[in-house]
Amino acid sequence: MVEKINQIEKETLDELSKVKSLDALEEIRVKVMGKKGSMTEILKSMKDLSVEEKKEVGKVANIAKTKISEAIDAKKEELENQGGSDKFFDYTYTLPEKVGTYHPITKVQQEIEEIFQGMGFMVDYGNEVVTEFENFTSVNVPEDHPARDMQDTFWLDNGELLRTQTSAQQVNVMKKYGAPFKAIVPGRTFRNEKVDASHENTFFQLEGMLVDEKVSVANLIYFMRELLSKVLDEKDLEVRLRPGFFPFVEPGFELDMKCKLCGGKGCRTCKNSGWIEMLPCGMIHPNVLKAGGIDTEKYSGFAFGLGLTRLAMMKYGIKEIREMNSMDIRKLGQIR
Amino acid sequence: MFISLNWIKEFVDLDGIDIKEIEKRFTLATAEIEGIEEKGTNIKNVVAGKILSVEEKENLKTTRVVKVDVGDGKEHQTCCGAPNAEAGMIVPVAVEGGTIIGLDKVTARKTGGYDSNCILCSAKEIGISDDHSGLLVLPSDTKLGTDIHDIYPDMNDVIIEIDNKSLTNRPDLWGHYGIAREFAAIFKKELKPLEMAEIKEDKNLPNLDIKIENDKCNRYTGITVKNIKENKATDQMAIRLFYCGMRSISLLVDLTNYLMMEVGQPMHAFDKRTMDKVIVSSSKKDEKFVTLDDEERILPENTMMICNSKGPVAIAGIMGGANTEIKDDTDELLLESANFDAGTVRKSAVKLRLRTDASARYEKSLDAELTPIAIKRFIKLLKDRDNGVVIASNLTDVYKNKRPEISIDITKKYINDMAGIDYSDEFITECLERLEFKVTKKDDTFHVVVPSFRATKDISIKSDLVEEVSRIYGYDNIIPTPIELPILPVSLNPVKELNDKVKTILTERYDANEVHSYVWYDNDFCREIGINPESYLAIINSEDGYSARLRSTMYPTLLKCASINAKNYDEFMCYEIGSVYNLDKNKHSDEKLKLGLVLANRNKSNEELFYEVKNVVKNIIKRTRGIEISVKKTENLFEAADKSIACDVYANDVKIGTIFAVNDKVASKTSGKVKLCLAQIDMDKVVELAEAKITYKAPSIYQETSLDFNFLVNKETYLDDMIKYMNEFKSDLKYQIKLVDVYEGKGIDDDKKSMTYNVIIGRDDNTLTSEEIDGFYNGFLKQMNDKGYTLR
Repeated sequence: MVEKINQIEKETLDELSKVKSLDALEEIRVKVMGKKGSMTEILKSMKDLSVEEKKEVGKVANIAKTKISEAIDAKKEELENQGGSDKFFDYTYTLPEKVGTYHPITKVQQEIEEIFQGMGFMVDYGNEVVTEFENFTSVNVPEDHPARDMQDTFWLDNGELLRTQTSAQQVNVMKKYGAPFKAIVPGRTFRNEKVDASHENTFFQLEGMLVDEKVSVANLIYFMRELLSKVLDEKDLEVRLRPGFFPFVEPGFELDMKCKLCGGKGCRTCKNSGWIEMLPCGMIHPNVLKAGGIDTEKYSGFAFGLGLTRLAMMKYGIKEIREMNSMDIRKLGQIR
Repeated sequence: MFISLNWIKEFVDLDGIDIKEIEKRFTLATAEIEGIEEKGTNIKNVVAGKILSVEEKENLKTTRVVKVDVGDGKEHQTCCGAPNAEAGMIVPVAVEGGTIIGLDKVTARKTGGYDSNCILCSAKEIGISDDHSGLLVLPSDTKLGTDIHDIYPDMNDVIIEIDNKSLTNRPDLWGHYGIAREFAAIFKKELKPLEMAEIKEDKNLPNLDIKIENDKCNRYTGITVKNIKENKATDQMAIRLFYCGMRSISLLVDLTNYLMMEVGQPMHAFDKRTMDKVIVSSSKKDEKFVTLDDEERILPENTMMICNSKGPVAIAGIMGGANTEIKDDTDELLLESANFDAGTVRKSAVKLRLRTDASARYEKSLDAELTPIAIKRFIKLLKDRDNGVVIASNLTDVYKNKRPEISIDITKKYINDMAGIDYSDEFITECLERLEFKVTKKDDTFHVVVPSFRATKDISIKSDLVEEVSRIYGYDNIIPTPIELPILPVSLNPVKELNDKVKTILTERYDANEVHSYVWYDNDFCREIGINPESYLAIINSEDGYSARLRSTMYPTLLKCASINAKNYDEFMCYEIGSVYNLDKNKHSDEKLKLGLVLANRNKSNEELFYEVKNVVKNIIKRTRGIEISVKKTENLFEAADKSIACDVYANDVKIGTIFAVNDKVASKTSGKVKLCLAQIDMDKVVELAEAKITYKAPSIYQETSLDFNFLVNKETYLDDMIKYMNEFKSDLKYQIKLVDVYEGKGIDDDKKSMTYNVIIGRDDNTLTSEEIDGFYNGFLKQMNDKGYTLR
């Protein structure tokens, strides 16, 4: 029996020296020292021995047991210190995942809203269905202006219409905040157009307004330049104003940005002019300020419009405007 | 609009100014130049030649062999297809190496065995007309060998294309003279006066019988001219018209067009034989009229018409009639130069679908002062061409609505404050005067009288003058200046806050995809899947035949979204925050912001999807408002809903939305085997829910006791009802109930289910005694048994 104990001790210590994982170590522990382990069994069978024999074998067994236990503990510590096993593990495997996405316009809109909020602008939305007064009259579009014609506007059977411009919100915003104020109105706008790769009847604009004492054209240029630099993430951006006619501003401008592709020399992107038309803007027309209840002798301000849909398409390189409203996540499910 | 630089130079000297500079300054000061085209310089080595002989050859079917002499002593021959080629004729000849329209280089070659080393040209081939019917015949006294550019000095020109849209508010720029005035102001040059015929009142001549019955005619000026023999415009006029996009037709027609393009005043020439009098009136109902393009048109009622004693002869401001058209033998004409109301002309042109060069100008609000000027200029040009013409009536002028003169008082301070520039008094005065404003200064105030051609709608207020001064100064010369404003905290928009947060939760926690859609139903799609959703507002004039009904719910949009994406994906969640539209009691649009959500999965049951969506909604409301939602039976079931798997969602007893699984009938047509669950949440109501305050609660420091209850209940028991009943239990102890498991099936009667709850009980001030625990256990169980909830 002593021999057997010695054999178990030898074999176990031998095995222990080769063990490479905690799991395997535990296996050995159970095999030898567990309830039905080889060493335990031997100890159990000692009950049949004589007292003398018990004494002798017991001594040997206790020493062996202690040795094995110590060896196991030592090995355990060694392995734990190693920080795991050497077993093959495929760390390249990835669990199946689905990644949620935002609509491209949401991303661009949120970015721009945050830029404006950082500059102290209020964000407002307003309704998509508005009255003829809101969409046209309040922003100084004359009674017989072609823009009021049937062909550009979706008219509704209750006499109201789907707003053709976020400018429809100008006067409401003025009334809401009163002068001085700074606000933007992003939102969905509509034009009664045939839809194709570059035309949509539903798109997003952002209207911006700043009204205060002594706001000037020079301020407008500075502001728009800084804003576009931030929005387009472009340093040393050059902008220029040229006359543009919009009933709700006077003077009204088209703001161009120097073409970055050709540096202003002229290329296909800028139609050889060296400049890219970016946005309409201007000093808010006194009639509009008046409609908003603002004292035109004391206050002046500027307004501008940004095409959010166009900016989103530029930012992500989306070629077809139709995709924006397609609801197809193969196309739109890319903006994280 | 096309502008000829030669024409402009008749009125303003632009020598020494580079065309690039013109382009830049005009674009910055006035209107966008879309293109610049050099004309004539592309025609090279084309000279006058005399046709010596024209021979037909048997093997040549469409051409004849023509010999020409171009005065260089060499023999030139070509195979020419022109039907009018005739010996003795002087024609343009493109000699070897020459360039004409459509051919970069003339080379010697053989046609049917005959030498061909030059090309005889039509007017089209040298670019001065689109006439390609035959060879251009040059005057018989043209010296052979003369370069074509010397014969037609006007063929060398620079044509500037101006963006029409940027001229909508500038009626004065719809003619060359107006553009020349602008150039003169921009480049500080003198504007030459328009040369006009002097027409004095003559007692021996009759006045025209002109009557204005329609008050939308502001002014009607007319004259008659007789003894017109010449029928062809000068080459110069014909070439200019062609370069500016018109075709030369006959002297009188060309002259009216020329005047329109020069002074911007549309004119009309009637054959005098058909015009006994002029009456400006209105069309009657269903009246028909043949315009001079020989189209019979049905006139909208009350269209402004020019009439003679018999009836209509022209649609005012749009197009003349066939009945009074100038004929080849017309030698006496009645010339109309009139001013009509802009809106009236525009509306008629839209209704008739007939937009002409004339109507395009009238609709910009032309200056009524132009009408006699145009006539005097017309007569001058006509007499230049045909000095035998005789004026046969007095210049008759009926001026019905004269606009009041506009004057504006403005201070330098106002201009400088708005521009952000320090203009001097002198600069302001000079700028305005160069643009033909009359300026007088008294103390600090400029008294500015607006010229009539700018006063029709363009300029009426102070800021208009700021624009005039600044654009001439050059916007590119204004130094960008930062705005100095006080720094104040900004209030955030709660709608934005909520929208952004909800989008973040859906996209980043639930990996949903945000979509955008149209705000109207897709009727075809609705029909296909067999739903007929309600709509309260309809588009009455959709251009593209879109569905004309605005959505009153997000569900059809969500179904469409599911149908598009189920083709490519077995599972997805899409959402949109968008508007739906109802009507209020005044029939005004009542627009509400909704979150629409669709969860789709091929491998899950409707019940599973419903519970998932419910959890999403629960999480959204909890995260954004700190409120636990509750649910109730749906009041108004959407037609696509599965009746049983549906509920309304409440927060603080306010209904904020609905969740339902889509019934099999609609789902199978929408997304095949992919199951769908929809939710619509009223963002307008959620935003108004007061956010629940977070109050910190310390956990009890005493040991709590956990009790498990496994009840056997009727299958049709709602969890909410049971929990609510449990929570009605009155006890001194604090307790918290949580559902652990629901089980139905093996070992349980078909009409029952087993529900296991865990109840944690405790006190804030002490550890529970076993009597307290037993007391709670027994009391709670008794209350449950009373309701028929028995332990399993």
